[in-house]
Amino acid sequence: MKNLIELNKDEKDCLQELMNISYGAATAAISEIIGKFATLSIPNIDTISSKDLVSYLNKKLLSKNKYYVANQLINGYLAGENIFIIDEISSINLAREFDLEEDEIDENEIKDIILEITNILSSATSGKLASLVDTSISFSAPHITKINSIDEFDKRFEGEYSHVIIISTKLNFKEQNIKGELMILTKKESSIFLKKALDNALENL
Amino acid sequence: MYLVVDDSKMARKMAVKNLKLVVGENVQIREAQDGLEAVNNYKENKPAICFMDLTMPIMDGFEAIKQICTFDRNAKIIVISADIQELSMQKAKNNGAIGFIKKPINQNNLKSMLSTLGLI
Repeated sequence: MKNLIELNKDEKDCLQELMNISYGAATAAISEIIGKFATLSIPNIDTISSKDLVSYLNKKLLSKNKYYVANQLINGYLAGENIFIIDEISSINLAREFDLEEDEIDENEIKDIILEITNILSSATSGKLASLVDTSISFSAPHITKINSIDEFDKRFEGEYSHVIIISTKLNFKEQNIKGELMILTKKESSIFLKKALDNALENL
Repeated sequence: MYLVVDDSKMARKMAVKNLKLVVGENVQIREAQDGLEAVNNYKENKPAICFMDLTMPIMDGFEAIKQICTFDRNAKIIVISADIQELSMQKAKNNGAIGFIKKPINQNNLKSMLSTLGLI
């Protein structure tokens, strides 16, 4: 744990506020698409070692649920990965909000909708965050998998991200029973860049 | 005197900085970090304008606006929020807010709002 790039209280507060602004825009975009109201929550910032990622997720989510996990690579100074996790029931409810008839809701349709939502969330959050810290990023095409429990979460992340700052926030349409979690994993170099950018932002206040 | 309400220290700093640029360096500004603190602060100090975030712990901005406007039906509350959903803006307005500024706050959107409302 001693090699982690820790953010101090002010840096965390600054990042939380930047994410709050970014996520507000993303949620409004999705809310407009499906014509329903979403509850915004305060973004959560955690710094962990990637080998603790699965146990971290087990604490945050119901470990025995089935989940769709969509991930999208971020390239540039803020290199990392966006991961959107949504449980099976929420994803079916989400598909219903896209005006699909019950017999049209199948695995492929659900995956397609989740990928689209991930695209919107990624560009609105990471894209906005990048512009707020004066850099630019690009995205690779998102991928999606279905897991039967959090324990099946891809172990690849442990190898690729020795160090991660997890910025997580919820997509929460209470009345429709839709809950999802967006996490942004950053690599060590990106974490250092982000920390410096946050310090600059704070100095300029 | 003005009251700035936000759970983020950074957001409060940004609001204070821009208020001073628009209204003047000598303006007196108090701060609160959640809705409950805002309600108590409002009752004690009766600020001329209250700038209120919506997404906050302990008590959110919607409830704080409602409580403040119940206490003082002439309260001038301007929301500064990242929650830009139409329904959120409408709910804040129904609870008594008189204006809505989309985050991040800057000199232009603040000046324009205060000017539109005839407050500067």
